[in-house]
Amino acid sequence: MILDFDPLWLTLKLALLTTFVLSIITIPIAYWLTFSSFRFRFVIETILNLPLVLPPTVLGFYLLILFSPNHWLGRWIEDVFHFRIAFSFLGILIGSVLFSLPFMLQAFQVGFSSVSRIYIETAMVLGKSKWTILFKVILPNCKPAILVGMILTFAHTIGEFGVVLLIGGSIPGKTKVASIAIFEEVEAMNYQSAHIYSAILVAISMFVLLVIFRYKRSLTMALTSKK
Amino acid sequence: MKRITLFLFSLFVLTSAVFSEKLELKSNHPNEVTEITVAVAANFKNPMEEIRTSFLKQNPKYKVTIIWGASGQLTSQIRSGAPVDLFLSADMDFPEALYKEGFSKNQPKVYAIGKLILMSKMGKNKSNSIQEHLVNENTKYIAIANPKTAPYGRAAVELLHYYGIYEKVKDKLVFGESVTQVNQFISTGSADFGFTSLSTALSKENTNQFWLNVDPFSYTPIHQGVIIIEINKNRSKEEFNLSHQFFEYLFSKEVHRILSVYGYTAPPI
Repeated sequence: MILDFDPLWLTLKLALLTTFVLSIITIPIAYWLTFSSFRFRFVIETILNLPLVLPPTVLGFYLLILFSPNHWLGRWIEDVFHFRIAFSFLGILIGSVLFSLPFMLQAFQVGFSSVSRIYIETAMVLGKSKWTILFKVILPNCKPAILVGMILTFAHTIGEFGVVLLIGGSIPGKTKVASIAIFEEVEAMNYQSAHIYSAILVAISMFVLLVIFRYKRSLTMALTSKK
Repeated sequence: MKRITLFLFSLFVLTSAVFSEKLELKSNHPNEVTEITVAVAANFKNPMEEIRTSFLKQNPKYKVTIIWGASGQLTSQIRSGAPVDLFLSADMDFPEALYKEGFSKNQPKVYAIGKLILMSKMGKNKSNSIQEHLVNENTKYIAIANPKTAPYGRAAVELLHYYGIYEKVKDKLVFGESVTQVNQFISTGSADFGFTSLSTALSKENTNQFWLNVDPFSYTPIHQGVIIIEINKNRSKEEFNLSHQFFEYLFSKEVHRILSVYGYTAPPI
């Protein structure tokens, strides 16, 4: 029995990139949602949290339609970039990012709203810009929440199945991640390799989480001290 | 706010009351109707609905419950003791494996033969050959079911080798876990072409504009096998008879007529 390590590598790559991309894009979204006085904020919030209730396969199916050459968006991407997002690593990355967005967002919002108003108002009175307040006041004060969001996203993506299955097309070395490899091995009655993949996934997740929890403090410092 | 909470709470109490009553009904009268459970591969959904309807028309006092799923999933469920009486797989391997493990007294029997076709969402030139369509540089992705697990996927790979274009189109292949998923790839237009079943093309939901029959000798016929599961239930005599009756019915003239309507060939008798 030869074990192919590509799926494991892809899962890791997908989980790390999803966490990275989401950390960057969720900060401004959460910031705006927590402190804006926009009347219809709850509508935006609802839309962003839809992936929580939508079955991942449905989300994947919508993305498949969106990126297909029959849809104006898919056609435009294909005409301009000569590239089809469906069946590519970028495709599963976009799917994963959308699917895990609510998890990251929830954690960040909880963190941002827990920062004492006194600090924020003090900074405002001192005439600091919104961005300075975000990076110097808010983020340093909710490191645990940010870390929780990142861990959740990472763990969530490791087990990600539905979205990737639908827009990925299970291409070896490109979109066939470990969860799909496990599913296929079980379907093919190769229980042994399914067990091995699963064990490796568990081991990787355990290791990553252990490291994170062990070095929690220094890690959050590194994350939040950069401008 | 309080009102809403109260309303939701009463709704919850009501539903739980209704459900508990239902459960009690079941436990009090277990032998009201003779009922069998049939596990069926999802690709056989449309013909199976009709087969069940016509069977129950002739035998109105029985009940036939159907579990749908991928053949592999259903096999695992049967192995773990799911109370299933009959298993209609999408291939021969799974029922064969169950038979070897002693879940059935008889070898799997072919109840239907599937046909492979080439399909696309967009209208394509019907006069072009399969090779021309697939090798064409405008064809970026060709969807096939996973050849490791799905019979239609294996057949598609055989066909590509038979036409001698496998190496040329290898990098265009994308894999669905089943024919159902291949159909999604085709009907969204994400894949330019896909190899799917004739039953897809003949189903009412099919909106794809183009499909092409393939050379029937280009792949091994896709046999679908059925077995009677003998060991998972303490069957009453009536249930035993009913499962055998249903099994026999699968090979009747009426079912063979239904098969041809849905794009399957009846097994040679």
